[in-house]
Amino acid sequence: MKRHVTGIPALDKKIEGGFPEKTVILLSGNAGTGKTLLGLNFLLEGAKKGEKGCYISVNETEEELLRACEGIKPLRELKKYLGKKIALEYIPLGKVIDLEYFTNIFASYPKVDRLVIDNVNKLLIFAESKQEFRRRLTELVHYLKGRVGVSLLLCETLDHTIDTGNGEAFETDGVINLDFIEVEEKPRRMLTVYKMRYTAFEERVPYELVISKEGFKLKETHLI
Amino acid sequence: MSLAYFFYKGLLETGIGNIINKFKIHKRRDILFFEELISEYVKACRDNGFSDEMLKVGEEWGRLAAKTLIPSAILSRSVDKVYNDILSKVWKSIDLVRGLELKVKGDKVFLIVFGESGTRIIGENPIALGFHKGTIEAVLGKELKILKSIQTPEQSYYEFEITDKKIGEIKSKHKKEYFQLNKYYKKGFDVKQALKKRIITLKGNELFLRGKKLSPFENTYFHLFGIHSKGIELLVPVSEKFFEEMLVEESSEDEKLRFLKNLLQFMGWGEVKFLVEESKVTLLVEHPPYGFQKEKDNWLFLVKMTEGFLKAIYPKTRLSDYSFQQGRVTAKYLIR
Repeated sequence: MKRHVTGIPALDKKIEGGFPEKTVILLSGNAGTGKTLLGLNFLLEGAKKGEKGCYISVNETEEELLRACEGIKPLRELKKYLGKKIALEYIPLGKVIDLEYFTNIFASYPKVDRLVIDNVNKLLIFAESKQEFRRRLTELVHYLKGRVGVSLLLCETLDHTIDTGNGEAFETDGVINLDFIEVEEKPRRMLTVYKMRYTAFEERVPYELVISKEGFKLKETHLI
Repeated sequence: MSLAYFFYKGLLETGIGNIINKFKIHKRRDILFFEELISEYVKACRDNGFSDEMLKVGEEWGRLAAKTLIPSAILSRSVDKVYNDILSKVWKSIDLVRGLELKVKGDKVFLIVFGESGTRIIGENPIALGFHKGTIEAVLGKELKILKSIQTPEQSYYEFEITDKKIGEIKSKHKKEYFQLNKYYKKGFDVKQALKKRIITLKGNELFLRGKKLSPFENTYFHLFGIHSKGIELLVPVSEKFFEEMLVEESSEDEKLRFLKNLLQFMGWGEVKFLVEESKVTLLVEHPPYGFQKEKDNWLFLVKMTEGFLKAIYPKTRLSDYSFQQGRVTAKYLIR
């Protein structure tokens, strides 16, 4: 099975070499856990291998995303691929958009190998009920599986949960959660693989993820 | 009334790392602990010259438990009625004793206890002596002098003299503060789930985990072990040996550590995590149990017991640092 490397070699090692082809992966976490940076790094890694990637943001503008990349040395390289292998699209949520609106925009793009949606709960914010949210989510996941190599759906969560309770973790093929633990009042970022279809992996073991100026490092430090 | 009754009638309310005992006169948070382990620790202290420390633990625990767990309407009755009619039933229900008889003649108190917890394993048991002394003192409001103590695994005989000296004020947390501190509930793999999955088993009135008997203990007990801690280093080898005997199914270090985490949570020590680094393991406990005493809670017993348990996994383990802050226990252990 074809796999797409994640941009973090130690994570690839834990999931048989990367995300499986034709899957939609949920990357969830609280504010500040590094979802956006990981998403951008995922696209950059693909671009280096000649894959096309698109980052759709309903949160930050292109300028803001590039500014975030500036703080991380390896991510500065992303600029080099912009407009060639990587597209950054900002969809402001000033008006009600439905899924069709989004898929129409997306359908106008050339085929991409990697897609990041930042973030899925905000994209579906106009669903009027839980049922409608779930229905739209199902449609979105189905649509992406047929069209993109690997899609990463970023998801804002609270209180150490892996999704918002609207079925994101059920609908997607993989779930990676980012969270903080406090050790002597110092927060440490932990990455946990909760689900990864078609892959043998160590379930629910949180590993320490260090994001520094130098880049991303998944350490062997883990939580039991 | 059996432990099984407590579980199935919902009188023990459980969550991750939390056991609330809703019965026995007064609601409180309990720890399910191993009588064998605690007895071996008391024995080690006794045999190494720390009997006085253990006596103090028992005495303070008896006083605090009586003050906080027994309603004042009951406490105002005569000590023989309190002991023979009420406490004997309560203690029998949790297998703390198998029976007792108390008589008061003049200024003397005579007490016979059958099959007393701890004593039934190690014989001479300064904690039990201190516990009865403290409990009776709290009921009478006067200090006792120990005249005689004969303890055997089958039965113990105690003789006390009631002095004229009033006991000082027994300071405890306000009920509201106690429940606020112990207020915590998280659904998950708790002791009830462990019972359903037969990880913990009920045999008659007794709970077992891998052949080791568990009994409910009130938290203040462990706080007092942390305060009267001259013999606390002895807890490390005792815990190591005890835990080694339990590690029968796990092979890797992580599997053993996962079992330890679950064990500590089943026991009711709070929400437990271990952060494993190359040469260090950090114990992180959120929502640890709080005792009745007024003074700041101390979880040194948990920290040192865990040091022993970890030694059974990583033989070179030694405690390097620990802290008790804002509802959280942190302890660092070097393991290589």
